[in-house]
Amino acid sequence: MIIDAAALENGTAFVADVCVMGGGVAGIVLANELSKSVGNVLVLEAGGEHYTPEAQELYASARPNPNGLPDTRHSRLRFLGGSSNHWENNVSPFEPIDFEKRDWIDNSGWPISYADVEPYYAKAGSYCGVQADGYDTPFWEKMLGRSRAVPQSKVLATAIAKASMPPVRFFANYGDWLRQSEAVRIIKNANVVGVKYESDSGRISEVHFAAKPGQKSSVSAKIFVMCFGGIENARMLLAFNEAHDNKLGNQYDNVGRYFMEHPVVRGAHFFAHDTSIFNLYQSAQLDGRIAVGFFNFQEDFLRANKLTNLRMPITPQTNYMLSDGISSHHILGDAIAAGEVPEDFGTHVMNYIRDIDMVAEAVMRKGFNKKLFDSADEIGGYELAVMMEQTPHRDNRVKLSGAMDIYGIKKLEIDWEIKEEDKERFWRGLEFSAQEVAANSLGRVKLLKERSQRLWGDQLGYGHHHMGTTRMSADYKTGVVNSDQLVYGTQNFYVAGSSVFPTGGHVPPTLTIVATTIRLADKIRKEIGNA
Amino acid sequence: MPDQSKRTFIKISALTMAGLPLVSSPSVVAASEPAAVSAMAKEFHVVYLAWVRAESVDPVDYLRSRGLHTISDKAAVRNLSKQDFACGNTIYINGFVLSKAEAAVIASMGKAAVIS
Repeated sequence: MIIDAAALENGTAFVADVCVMGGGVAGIVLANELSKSVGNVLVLEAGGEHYTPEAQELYASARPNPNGLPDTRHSRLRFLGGSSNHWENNVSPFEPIDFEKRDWIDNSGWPISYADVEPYYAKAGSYCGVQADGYDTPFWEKMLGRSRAVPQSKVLATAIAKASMPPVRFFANYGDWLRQSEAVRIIKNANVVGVKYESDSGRISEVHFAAKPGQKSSVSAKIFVMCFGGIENARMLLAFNEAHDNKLGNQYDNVGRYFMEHPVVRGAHFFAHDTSIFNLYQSAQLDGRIAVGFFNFQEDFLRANKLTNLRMPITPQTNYMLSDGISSHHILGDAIAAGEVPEDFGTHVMNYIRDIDMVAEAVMRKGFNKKLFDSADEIGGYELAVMMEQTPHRDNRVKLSGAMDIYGIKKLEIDWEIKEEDKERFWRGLEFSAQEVAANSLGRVKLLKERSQRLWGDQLGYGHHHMGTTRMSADYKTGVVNSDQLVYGTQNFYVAGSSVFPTGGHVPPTLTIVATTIRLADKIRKEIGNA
Repeated sequence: MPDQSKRTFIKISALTMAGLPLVSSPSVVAASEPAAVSAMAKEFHVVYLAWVRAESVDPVDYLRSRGLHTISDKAAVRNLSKQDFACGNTIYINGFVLSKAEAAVIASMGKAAVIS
């Protein structure tokens, strides 16, 4: 059943066993899981069944994000299905090392292990439309009739990514079931505006919501779960804490901190001796999905060299796209316009001159909409668009500003940058990769360090994966939620989604969001059963 | 004019007109040499200059110290190169991660082009 909060009388009160706040990926999976065994689940979704600019505007930050971080109105969606309404559906599991305490990375280590999450990955794969047949590379080699490039390497590993075609839109896919379920009610256009916290018992007794300013309805429930997304979980929890003396997981000022993204850096070109070796690394179409291999590092190698992992897909590119001259042309142009001399000035001049044909091609294409050389469109090598793990830093954070939205909730501000140590590990990792592919006579790798200014600037890509802001920890002094995702200082208030991830790995987080949410549903089912 | 000829023509013209240090050396290549050979010699010379900047030893002496007395022994170069990559004995030249052995071979050819 779907109820429109806009049609409710002021002061309407609902009662539920479990109140799920947010109807995105985590919220829909949680409601779906609970609907099979919990009698009365209520989902509050701030948006409707479709995109509206009015709802989306409520995701606006108070000021532009720093360092090119995308606008928070663009990187997520505020309606049923959440950001699955615009995702690419690219999923892979985290690896065991992602959960471990790595002594070379501050603030690393989950209070749960890979073994705690692994049992839920198969079902998570089904939710994500990629089936439950896993990510075992030898299995996929057989399935696709394609082979790994360096099977014996102690440096490079080959991992598998899968995606549903078309992508799974979680409400479009699972909404009918939820609509028809006797156990689930969805209230749309329900913007959560506050919680009632009983400090004596540590319980949330009510959540308040509104479809328009001035209106207020409520839900009382045994259990509340916040599933607003990696940024909004922090913003709303900070807002709740302002009203409740920081008793909701914020006694040690951890809410909103350790914010992480997945930067995507086009940092290298790969020129292969024999391209037929790399078939596994090109998308293979299966029935309703695709599978593709990518390079990353062996776990022992990561430990021995104190690296963070890199997701290194290899994508065939044309001579035009691989041109150093065009990139250097932009760097020189920008520098001249700013009255500066760029780093590696000589290299850029050299690139420009040596690649003058591709620069001419670019001028013709952009200025005259014409092509000069057919060979510009020939495949010249592979590009590595590398997704890197960003390590958790306390000063990368989501915080509240002084400006309010129309419901009186403070708008967010984000402090965020990529630390030099992460960049250093990135380049060192790529250099090891270059050595390994050459040692195996696969080809040569060109690192694009001289483009650093642009690679870490206007050419930087993003996964739009928001993680870490309500981090999981075994100690309330260093985290916001415990290993069961229960907010410290509360007895019945949980958080689901990537905001609970203490570290973000090097692959998209959605499969792990779904897996941890199914795990949380198991926990809640038991709790409700025991009650 | 075929694509490749056009590209080579523009490249060589630009290189020549630019009067870059790497091509202004006295006689990188004779004017009568084919353009492609000329361009390759210039690339080799770039490697030579990078080698000189990064290493204190002459590339030919370096190769001798590794037991390589002729660069035409391709198998020996290949073996040394694989060893270098395996143990991280590499050099970063114009973005490329090259083994020191292969870089020294190319640099020695670039050096020869200058002094010929």
